Amino acid sequence: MIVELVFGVVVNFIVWVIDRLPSGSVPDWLGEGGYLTTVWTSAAGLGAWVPWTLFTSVAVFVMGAAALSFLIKLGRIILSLFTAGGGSAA
Amino acid sequence: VNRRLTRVVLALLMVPVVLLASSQTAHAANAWHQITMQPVLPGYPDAMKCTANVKYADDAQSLYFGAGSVCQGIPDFSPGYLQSGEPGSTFKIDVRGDAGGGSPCIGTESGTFGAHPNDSTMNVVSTFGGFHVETGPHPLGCEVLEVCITLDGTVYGGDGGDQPSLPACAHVDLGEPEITQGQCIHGDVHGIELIPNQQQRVGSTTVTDYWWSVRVYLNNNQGADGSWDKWRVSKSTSFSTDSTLTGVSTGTRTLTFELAKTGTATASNDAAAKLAASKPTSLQIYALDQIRNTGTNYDTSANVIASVYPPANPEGAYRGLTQPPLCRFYYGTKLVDFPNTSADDPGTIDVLPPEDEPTAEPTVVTTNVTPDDTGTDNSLLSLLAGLLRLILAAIKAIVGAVKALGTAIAGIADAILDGIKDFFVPDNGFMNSEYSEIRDAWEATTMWRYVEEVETMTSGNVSGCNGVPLDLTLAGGVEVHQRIGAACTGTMASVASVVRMVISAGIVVAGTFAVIRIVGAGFGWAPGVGRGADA
Repeated sequence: MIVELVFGVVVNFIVWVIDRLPSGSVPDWLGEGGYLTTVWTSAAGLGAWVPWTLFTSVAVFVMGAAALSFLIKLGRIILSLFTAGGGSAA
Repeated sequence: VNRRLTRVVLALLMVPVVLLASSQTAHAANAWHQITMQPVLPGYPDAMKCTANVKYADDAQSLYFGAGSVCQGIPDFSPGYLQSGEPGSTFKIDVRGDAGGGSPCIGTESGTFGAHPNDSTMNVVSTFGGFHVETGPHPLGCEVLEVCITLDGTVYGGDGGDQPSLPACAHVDLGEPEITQGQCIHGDVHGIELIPNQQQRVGSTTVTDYWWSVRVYLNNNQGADGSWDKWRVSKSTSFSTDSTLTGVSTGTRTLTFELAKTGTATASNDAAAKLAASKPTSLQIYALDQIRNTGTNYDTSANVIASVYPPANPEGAYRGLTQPPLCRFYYGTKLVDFPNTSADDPGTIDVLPPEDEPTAEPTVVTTNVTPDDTGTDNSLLSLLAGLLRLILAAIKAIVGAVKALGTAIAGIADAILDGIKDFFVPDNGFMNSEYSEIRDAWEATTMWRYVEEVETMTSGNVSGCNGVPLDLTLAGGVEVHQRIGAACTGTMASVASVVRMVISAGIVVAGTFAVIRIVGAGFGWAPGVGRGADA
């Protein structure tokens, strides 16, 4: 019961924050047939030279690390609130 | 004040002792007792000891010997070769007691010793028991006072010489037998009736011939038409069939029989099944009494044997009816007493397997046997034993109460834990629901759509080797169609492979450094890896 209450409050807050984000459609240059798609299609022809698959994999991995770092820092910030002013996430 | 208080405390302490002593007297009648009989061998007084577990039968007219009874001794030594008590040899048990009012009751039973694993060359150990000794027909039972065992065999050599038998008796104090009247009555049995039957005469015309006939029927009112079907009781001893006796005209007669559900039908063929599925309702005994030969024909007038259950005189009550271990009973007083024949004696009944017989056999000693003090007054020991049992019972009660309290506390603890569990543990599916709520909100944002488009764009084949197409139309209409970086074959493919390898290594190294720095930043750590001189 109490866990559901806490989780409900937290989730509602997160959803509220997400709802503040823009919800429009993507621009044309990013959509199907847009410039970026053309460039990407052209660049794909250089697959013999550039390991695109490895590149995207590493890029996703780095972005995941960034998200993890953000969560860690967020957790540290929250924990610092319970140290009577003695902690800092800076 | 202190003296008075002390008296009160002592008086209170005596209460359980008195109660225990009285209850022990009341309930010890038909319990198992261990008796010891020590045959006196000529020249070897301590050479043999027989230990038996005995108890009264429920009708108190026979004494059971438990199957674990043992005789042990050292008769196989030189020069006295004492061949008695060996497995396979025979013995005789004599029981003597008081049937009440000074009337003696006696019983005799013979048997053969059984093998015992401890039997050896130098030690004789044999088993006996598993039988009963009828002690008399008196309806009040027989209080056994003495039990004797006689070892049949031959003693030869040594000082004893040949000896045909070796008797040994033990005075026992089993207490008065407890007669369990009617304990095995089940169902709606309402009584026993002795109904006069027709008198019959044997073929002889002499006045000294008499024909006795007894029939026992078990009435069953579960017949299809509601009528009572009569069944002959099986294993009726002494009078299982018609009996012919001579020279007797008056007196009493004993009837001993066993009831069984498998009787011979007298009413219909399916009566046995009906009887097995129903409860007996009454027992009727049809008996003839004093068949007199009139000289011309048999006298058909009947002499009434009146006895209706419940009888006014408990001595005439039956002992049992339907429960096999208890359904061998002696009924009433003798109709006729035949001093010169055993036909009026209770018949031999099967050995009753005692249900509560001690399973452990008496301790077998393979060394010299010393006489014990059988027959001494053990009332003080009995009192102490009873007091010990009382203490043990009290401890058991306390332990039971503690267990019950522990169970109750455990129940409360479980309830509390269940409450705590319900308070903290969310319902099944709650977390999935919350996660779905966040995911739905996120997928509605523009950022998610960006990611979605990039994912769609990059999900195709990106390992082409055709290069970047270059299609130009120069001034003058000159068209250029080239593919920059095409490296599918030839030397360019080899060069591209090397370059691809180098770039792959660079991506891996750079990505690793980036991940370390980024994750380290989350912990507030700023490593200098991948930053060259800054590290």
